[in-house]
Amino acid sequence: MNAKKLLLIVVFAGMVIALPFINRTVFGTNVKEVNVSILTQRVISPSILASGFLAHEEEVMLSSEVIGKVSELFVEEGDVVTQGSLVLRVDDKNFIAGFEQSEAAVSITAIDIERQEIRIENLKRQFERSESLYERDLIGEEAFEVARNQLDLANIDLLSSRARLAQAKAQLDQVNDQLSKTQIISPIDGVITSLDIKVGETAIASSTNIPGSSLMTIANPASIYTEVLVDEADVANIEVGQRTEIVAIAYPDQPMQGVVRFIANTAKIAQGRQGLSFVVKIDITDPGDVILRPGMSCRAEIFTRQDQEVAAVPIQAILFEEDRAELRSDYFIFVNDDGVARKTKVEVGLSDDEYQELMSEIDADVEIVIGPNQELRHLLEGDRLDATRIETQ
Amino acid sequence: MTDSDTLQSSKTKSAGMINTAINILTAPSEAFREIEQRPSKLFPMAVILISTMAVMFWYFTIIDFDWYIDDSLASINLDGDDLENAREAMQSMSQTTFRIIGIVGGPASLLVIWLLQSVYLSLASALNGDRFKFTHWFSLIVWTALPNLLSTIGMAVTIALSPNGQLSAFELDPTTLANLGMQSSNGSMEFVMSSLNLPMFWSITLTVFAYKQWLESSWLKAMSIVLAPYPLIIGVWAYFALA
Repeated sequence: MNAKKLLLIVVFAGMVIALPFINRTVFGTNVKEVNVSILTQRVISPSILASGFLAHEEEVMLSSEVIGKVSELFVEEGDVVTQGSLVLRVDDKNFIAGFEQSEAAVSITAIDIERQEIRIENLKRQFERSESLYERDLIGEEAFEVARNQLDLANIDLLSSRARLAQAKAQLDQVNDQLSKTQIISPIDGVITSLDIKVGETAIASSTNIPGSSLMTIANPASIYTEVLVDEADVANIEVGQRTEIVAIAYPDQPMQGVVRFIANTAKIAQGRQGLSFVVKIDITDPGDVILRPGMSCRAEIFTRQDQEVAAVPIQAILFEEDRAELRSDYFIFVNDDGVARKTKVEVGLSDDEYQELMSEIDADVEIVIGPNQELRHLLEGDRLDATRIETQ
Repeated sequence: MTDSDTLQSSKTKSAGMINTAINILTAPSEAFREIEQRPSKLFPMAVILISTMAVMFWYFTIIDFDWYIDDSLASINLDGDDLENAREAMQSMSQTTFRIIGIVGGPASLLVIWLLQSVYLSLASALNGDRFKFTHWFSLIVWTALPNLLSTIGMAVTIALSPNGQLSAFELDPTTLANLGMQSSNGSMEFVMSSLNLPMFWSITLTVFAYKQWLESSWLKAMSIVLAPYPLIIGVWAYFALA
């Protein structure tokens, strides 16, 4: 091989070896463009999510205590009713006839008693005369005993008639009560939220869920609240009075404000869930523009800690590493050390959807790498950074 | 022939191969004469394929696998569910699988390209009625691909300079047009620029020179025959890349 060829080979090899160095110098491909921010004080609102529905606290489902055809219906669904107003009447002809029959029975028995009282008065006088005659030996003992027996029997008959009168009056009260039950009265002030029967249909006195057993539902619209099911793992963090944001499925962009009013003492297995849940009732304090309708599905975010300002960073800036062999997990952030990424172990506190509290002491002027996520995911100790300062709100 | 004669012959043969390899880069005319007389294939094939496989093995050994998946997905236009499905599909493959695909895929595609080029030039010779057969053309194509060795050396240096395993496949070869500064904001064009490198043009030029020398043809004829498939190949490639 002559010198010229050797020189050419060296030149070619030198060029390709030099190219990567030149590339790095010219294009700087190993510098990562990241966003940084200093530590800020923020309100962290840790929360628990639960789903449920809207319901009325004051709600009554009316049913009939007597069997009969509905003869008159005085309301329609959506009507406002007041306590004591007549809303429905069941056909009462049979009940009126029964009432009159019982009333007549009372009258007949009362007349009987009157007649027996007059008879007793008469027998009493006869007995007094017989007694006077017997004392003067003008009549025999047998005649005197007959007069006394007749008076005693008449008294017993009177007692019997009085008992019959009480019986007839009781029956009259019973029939009267039945008659009054043909008139269905609203027990509360409210709105007819459901009307399940029509004129001509038969109202059935029954507690079972068969057609005709339920007449209508009346609810007080002012008493609407949210009932959600909270997983048993979260219930320990919930307290009465905690602030809540409720989002009805029908109004996903209009959160309502509420306050936890009641936490059930007993857990139950809700339909469609495997674990145990606790019923939590939330009062709606500010529905905004949402038109509340009972039965609406909703999601509630219960803020378990009251609003306090803490040192926090965007949640994506916190990196998590788990060492399963040593059963240890650590949290890290990357800080910008004069254009070089430095991995820093931190202790973290509460978090919400966007921010996490930093418990570790971090200087106020230290720049923390907060994004973008695709760079943060693969950022390594010592990586060169092209940092852009972002002012977080 | 004695053992010492055989050993001497073997050493002479190896020295001849290395001489041809150096000549391909520094004195191509001499190299073409040697290839015409002795159309060997195994030595240049072994040098190119083994060096390529070794560099790809090294690349897939040092690469940050999670970063590599994200970087590969970033180069294709996917979003939403498609992106997640693609990510899951890539994550379901092990790093070893990727390494095998990378190590075998590159050399295999080189072999296919060499065979197609050789078959094409053999058909051209058959139509012209000249004396060169497939074995000559395949030998020539493999030898003229030797400049790729420079690209492989550049890739090895790039890998050695990568401190953290976060090295894109597109940044690997310093001789690509994209890494030489011909970058484009158009993603498809960037892909084309990242796929063309200087040794590729060098190899094609060498083939044109060799054709002219072997067949003593004009420059126009040599260029017409050797370069004829390239407008078609580049056209089809660009169509799919830009589509």
